[in-house]
Amino acid sequence: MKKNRKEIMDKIRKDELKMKPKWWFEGIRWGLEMGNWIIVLVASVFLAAGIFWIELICPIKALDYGRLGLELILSSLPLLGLGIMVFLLIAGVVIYKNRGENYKKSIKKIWIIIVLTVVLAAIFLTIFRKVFEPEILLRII
Amino acid sequence: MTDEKIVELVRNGDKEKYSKIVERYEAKMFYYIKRMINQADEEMEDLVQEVLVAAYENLAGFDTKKKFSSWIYRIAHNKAIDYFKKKKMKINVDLGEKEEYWEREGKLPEDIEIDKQDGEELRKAVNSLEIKYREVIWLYYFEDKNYDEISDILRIPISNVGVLLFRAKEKLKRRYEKK
Repeated sequence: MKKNRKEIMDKIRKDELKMKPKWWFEGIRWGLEMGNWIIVLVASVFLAAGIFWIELICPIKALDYGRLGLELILSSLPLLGLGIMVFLLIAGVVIYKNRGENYKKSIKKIWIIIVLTVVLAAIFLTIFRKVFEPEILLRII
Repeated sequence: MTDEKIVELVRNGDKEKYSKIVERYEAKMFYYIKRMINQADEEMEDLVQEVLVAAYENLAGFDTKKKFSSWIYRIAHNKAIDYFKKKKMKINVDLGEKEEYWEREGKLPEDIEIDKQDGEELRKAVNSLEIKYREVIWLYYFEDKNYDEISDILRIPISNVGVLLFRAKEKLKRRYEKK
């Protein structure tokens, strides 16, 4: 063990062993924080798009047309969007759990926090859609 | 001087003070890693060196408001798990006959009455546990860590620490009673 001690201290003295700079850790912390917010935001946009799809297709009314209605629902179901949203939710939970001391929270609690945030953000986006839409259109043009 | 104070000094440029940390933790880390993955002493010493080197490299990322011991135990835990995966080792390993900790601290959960003469049986019973239970038993009873510290080391919720300890004690009790 003494050999260990000597080797480590020699490396430190010779500057062969260096401390990583503080900004490196701050960068990781901020990256995780920002990444988490971006993921939640994108997931809520997909959920808002899902709400828009329900408004557009109106699945309950479509079912009145029987098999034809069902086929319409199935063919227009935004599967890719749903898949991406589920993936983002899982990624959001994983990142959130690894941030700071969040590991102390139970996984159930973390799922509730992330899903609730996404749902609330999607409702907000849906309610204020008219505020966002002209902006989006302008950007596209 | 507390560990946290030493870390503060090292971070401010007094690199020599890191020898205090090495001195304080090398034996602890050795027994902790050995408890998880019992291999040749030389290999365990190399792992301890990796832990102490990683701790030095990442010292700027340590939050001095928290306990340094939990932080360095976390690094040791990660290194041991990595080693475990790399070597694809079996879960149950024997700690060997001359484990100092067993001889010195032949104690266990308060609800299992075992005296020092039973140290050998106790050692076998603990070693037969799965690694997650063995680790939590070790940290709580042999390293005197509290729930909060174990939660920081294993990065699991505090309630899970209690559950793991309870299950570990139940398993131990059953295995010990069988004998």
